[in-house]
Formats: sequence, structure tokens, C-alpha cells
Amino acid sequence: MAVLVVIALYLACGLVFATWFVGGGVARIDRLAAAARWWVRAVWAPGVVGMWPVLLWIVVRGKERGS
Amino acid sequence: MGHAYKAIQWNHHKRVYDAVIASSVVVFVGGFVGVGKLVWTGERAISDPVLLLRGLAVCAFVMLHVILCIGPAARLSTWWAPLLYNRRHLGVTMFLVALAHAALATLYYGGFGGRNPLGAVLESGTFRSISGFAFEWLGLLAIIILFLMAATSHDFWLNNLGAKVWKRLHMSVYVAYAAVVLHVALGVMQSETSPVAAWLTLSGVVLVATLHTVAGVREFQRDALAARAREDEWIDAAGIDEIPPSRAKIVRVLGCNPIAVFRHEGGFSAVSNVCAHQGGPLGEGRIVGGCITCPWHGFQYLPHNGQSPPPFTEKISTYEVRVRGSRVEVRAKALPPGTPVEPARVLPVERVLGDEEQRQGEAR
Amino acid sequence: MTMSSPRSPERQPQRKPEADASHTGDEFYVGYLPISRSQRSTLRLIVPAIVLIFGGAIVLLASVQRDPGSGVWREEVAEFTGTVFAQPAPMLLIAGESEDRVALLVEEGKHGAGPRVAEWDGMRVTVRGRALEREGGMMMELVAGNDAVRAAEGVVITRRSVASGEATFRGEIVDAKCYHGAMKPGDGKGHKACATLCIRNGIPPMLATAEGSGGVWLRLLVVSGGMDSDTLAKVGEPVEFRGEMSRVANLDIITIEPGSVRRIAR
Repeated sequence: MAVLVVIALYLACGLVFATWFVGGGVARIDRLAAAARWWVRAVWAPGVVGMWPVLLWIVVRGKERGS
Repeated sequence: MGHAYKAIQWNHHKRVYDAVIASSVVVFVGGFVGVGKLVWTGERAISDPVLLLRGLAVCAFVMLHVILCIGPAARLSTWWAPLLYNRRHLGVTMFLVALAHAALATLYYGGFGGRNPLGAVLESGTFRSISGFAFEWLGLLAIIILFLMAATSHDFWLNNLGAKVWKRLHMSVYVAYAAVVLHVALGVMQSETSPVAAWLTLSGVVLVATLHTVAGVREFQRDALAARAREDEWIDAAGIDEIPPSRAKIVRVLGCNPIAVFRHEGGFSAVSNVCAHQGGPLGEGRIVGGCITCPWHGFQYLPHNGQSPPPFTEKISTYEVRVRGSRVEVRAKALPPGTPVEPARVLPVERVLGDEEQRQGEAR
Repeated sequence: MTMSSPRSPERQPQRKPEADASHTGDEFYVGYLPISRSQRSTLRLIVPAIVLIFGGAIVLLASVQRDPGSGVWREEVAEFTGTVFAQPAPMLLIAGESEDRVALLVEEGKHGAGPRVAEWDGMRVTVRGRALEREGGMMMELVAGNDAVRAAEGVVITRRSVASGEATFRGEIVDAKCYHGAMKPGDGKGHKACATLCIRNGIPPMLATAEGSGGVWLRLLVVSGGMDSDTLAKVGEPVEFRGEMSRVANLDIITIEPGSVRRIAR
């Protein structure tokens, strides 16, 4: 099933991105988030895996929020 | 945001709320399996995995209805506000129950055959026939939407996606609901012999649709409506007697964000009706402790400048406001969020409190 | 999955709220403030009401589930001796006093017994497995391992097929294993994907036709030249087709041409 392969690839990219993002990359868009405890950031991980293109776009756009 | 992220900001209410959700899930799923075992016994017993996956499905479907009904119900009656407050926990639990159903059904029906279970389940149907419709795809669509909603329910997402995008993402629950209803109708209902399931599903859809319609109509009737206004134009919002103390009237101007006109300590202040948190209807809130308080999650703003009291840093737009005779008027142009505006006062003398209470009694 | 528990922001009011809230009259709920007595009693009314109403609906739904059928899947391993045939579906023909009996053969999981039975075709064997029984029909799920089929002494039975002509048939195409009791219910739309997987993997398809008496007539379905994708797509749905009926011992067999199955309204 081609659809499943596409979904799996999407999630795999998300996993790579989430590792970087939750591991510290999040500071680029939300300074407050970088100070959050690891388990709080772990709570975001599933969402990062699902929403990575949106977050990537926010990171690339380089606008910092949540000051 | 002026405060650090936490996984969950627990309070007593949320603990009680979550305890009720968890025990209800156990009672619902356990009840379904138990009754199923009592009704069909011996040679005619239903397989345990089938009972369990049906119980999970019914529980998730019921929870989705509760979730969808709380919103409009809270707009119709303040009774329901406490259920709205922690609805995110209900939503995430519902997703987990639905996910358990999906995983069990996929493994049971698609497993044990030496193939990828998800692939086996997804490729058996067609899109060109009703009786053969690939209803599993509808379930997958709903699960994907519910996953994105559950996974982005933390306030981190609200802050970084922005309230508007976040709200839009979470409005897709209606797409998920439609997908689930079709998943049921084109799936299990195709071979059920009893009409009860069909009637209950139909009742659920009617309930959700009716509550949303009634709440929408009520809102439409209650709020002041103004035709499209020029930015510098003054709009008639309400008679000074129409707004009870510490409450607001919502003014809807075509093409603009709605405005909430609050009455506080004898003065009138106008702010955006949209809460900076989740876009909650501030005009349906009250003034508590001198602050406009959102009916959804209690975010607060000072009436005269639209700023959250320190240490919080949210800001909402304010509007110029004036009293002309016995009418309150606002200017359609939104001022930058957090702009101080002197409250408009009724001249020449402020009314006494007792007077206001009497009027409020008459209004209700 | 590691789900994010959601959370709400915690706001603290700047001042004690009573001063304003007291004269607004009706109730206003703020999650982080202590709940008022009247709100508490309202909640104690509506929360149990919701649980009761929806709980009642759930109990009702549980009690109107359709009949899963009478199939039984025996837990104990048994042995049967007879003559094994690989076509038109793997089966063991067992001699009986009045009439011979057929036991269809399948493997564990969703796999047909075709590969295993091929080398024994037409021989007298003893098979080890768990029996599944429904509507007077029988099936053996062979145990894993090499000793599930072994040669046996005795007379090979000749298989006689009695043809009874062409007719139109209606019903639902099911996979023989689930329908005989491996899954209950082993038919219907919810089970369609499973039945498709089973049949694709070589478990014999059967036509289940409801009879007026509440029973079901189960007949082995044979597609000339092997199962085709068009027939496979219509598994688990109400269908109609023309075919030739015949009988081997106590097993009715319908033979159809590929592409001859039509969907019908239920």
C-alpha cells in the first residue's frame, strides 16, 4: 500500500525532527519552552512527529514567539 | 506567556474531572463486555476480542458526543461550564479509547495472516459500493485527526501555532465526527439486524446538530448586530440598562471581530470578544476580582486596557467607548492590544448599587 | 503511544472575587476557584445523569448485538483418520456408518492447508488438530509441526460427487474457518477484511445462506480456475450468482465461473 509507505516516511521524518526539536531545537521558536523540564517536552513529542512540517516552517521563518 | 510550561496544571477540579472520566470509561467498556457476555452465552457466545473492540468503539463514540455537546450546552446554560473547563482531558481520553479500538480491530481482523495488518484491513473494501465500502479508511481519517488534536492540546501548541491556527485545527473535530458516523453507518451497521444502533446513532447526530443550531440562533438573537461599519464610525451597542453590572453585551459588526462591552463599577469598557488563549467568548464571561474573566479557562484582562494583570502578559484589543443619552456606543476600529481607554460613564451622577440590582432583577 | 496529557493554564485571580461575583447574582464558573455549593449540587445531578443516560445507551447497544451463530472451536487436540484430498479444497473424508463425513482442513492462524496437504492427496492419513463445528459441518485446524498429518493403515475411500444442476444462489461469502467458530461473529461487514485475508491465504470460501428456520445453509464455494479478484472483492457482502451444485458426502459444493458474483441489497 503506497499510502502506508507515505505515512510511514512522513512519521519517520517527524521522528528525526522531533528528536532534534524536543532535544533543544524548540528554543529557536519558544525561549520559555527551552526551560521546560524534559518530561514536559516529551509530552510535545507526539505532536511534533505529527506536525513537523508546520514547526519546521516556523523555525525556518525564524520568528520567535512566547517571550 | 508569563509562566513556565508544566505538563498539567493540576487542581482539585481537574483531579475530580479525570477520576470521573477514567471510571466512566471502565464502567462503559466493562458494562458493554459484561452485558454482551450475559446476552450471548455458551455456543452462541461472541468472541472476547470482538466484544472488547465493540465496547471501546461505543465508549469512544459516546465520549465524542459528550465532547461535542458540552460546547453549545455551556453557551445555553452556565450549568455546563464546569464540564467545558477540562474538556481537553476528555478529548485526549476519547482519542486513546478510539486508538485502542483501532489497534485491536486492525490486529484481530488484519493480523495472523502473515501480512501487514493495517494493509490487510485497508485493502479489502472499495469506494464504489455502499455494501462493500472501505469504511476502515474513514476510521483511519478520524484517528489521524483525533491524534493531531490530542497531540497538540498542550498550551505550548496554542502559543506557537497561534490561537487562530490552533482553533482551526481543533475545529476539524467536526470532520472527524462526520468520518466516525460514516465509519459506523457504512461499517458495522451494514450487517446489524437490530435497528437500535441506527436509531441511537441518528439520535446522537440530531442531538449534536440541534444543540449547535439552538446555541447559534440564541447567540444571534442576543447579540447586537451592526451592518458593516467604517473604521471611525460609532456603533450603537446597547441601552445603558441592557448590560447588567459586571457583565457584557456582545456587538457583532459585519467584517470585524466581535466586541464585548462590559459594565464595571458604573463605567463601560469595550474589548475584543476573543480571548487571547483559545479564542473563548469573553463577552459571555464576567468581571471577577476587577478583571474580565473568560468563561472557558478563566483567563483575565483588565477592562480599561485589555491587559492581563501581572505576571501574565496576554493582551487583547480595546475599543473607544462613549455614552450618548441612554445608549452605549463603541467605535468600530480596534485599538492595538493593550491600549488603555478611559471607561465611559453615565453622566451626571453614578447610579446607586441598589438601583442596579433592581434593574438586573427585572431584566431576568 | 506516549500521549501528551493535555493541560490547561492555571490562572490565579488578582483579588478575592467575592466583591464582584456576589452581586452578579447567577453562577459563573472559574476552574481554579473553589466551586460554589449550588454549582456543586448541580454537578452532582448532571454528571451522574450523563453517565446514566449514555451508560443506558451502551447497555442497550450491548444487548441488541446480533446473533454470532452457533460455531464452536474445540480446545482439545483430537485425531481423525480418513482419506485426504487437496482439491477442490483441502479436506478429509471420514467413513461413517450411514454416510461419509467431510472435515475441511486449515492451518493455524489465517492460512490454508493446501501446501501441507498436497503431498498426501488421495492417501489415507491420520490428522491431529482442533475441531471447529457449525451447522452440522466440521473443520480441522491442523496443529503446527510435522506430525499433524501422518500415513495411516486401512482402505482409501473413493470420493463420489453427485451433481444436482445449475441454480441461482444468494447469501454471503465467508471464510470457512472464522465462520465455523474461530471468530464470532465470523461474518458481516465488520469481518469483511478478515474474511478477505483468510480466503486470499487459502482458507476455503463458503456461501452462508440464511434459512427461514433461523439456521444457515453452508456450502463450499469453488471458483473454476481458482479464486479471482472480482469474487474476492465481494466477500462479506450480500451477493447473488449462478453456479453448479454438487455434493460430496455431507458437503454441498457450488462451482462458479470467475466474475459471476453480483452485489445485491440486503
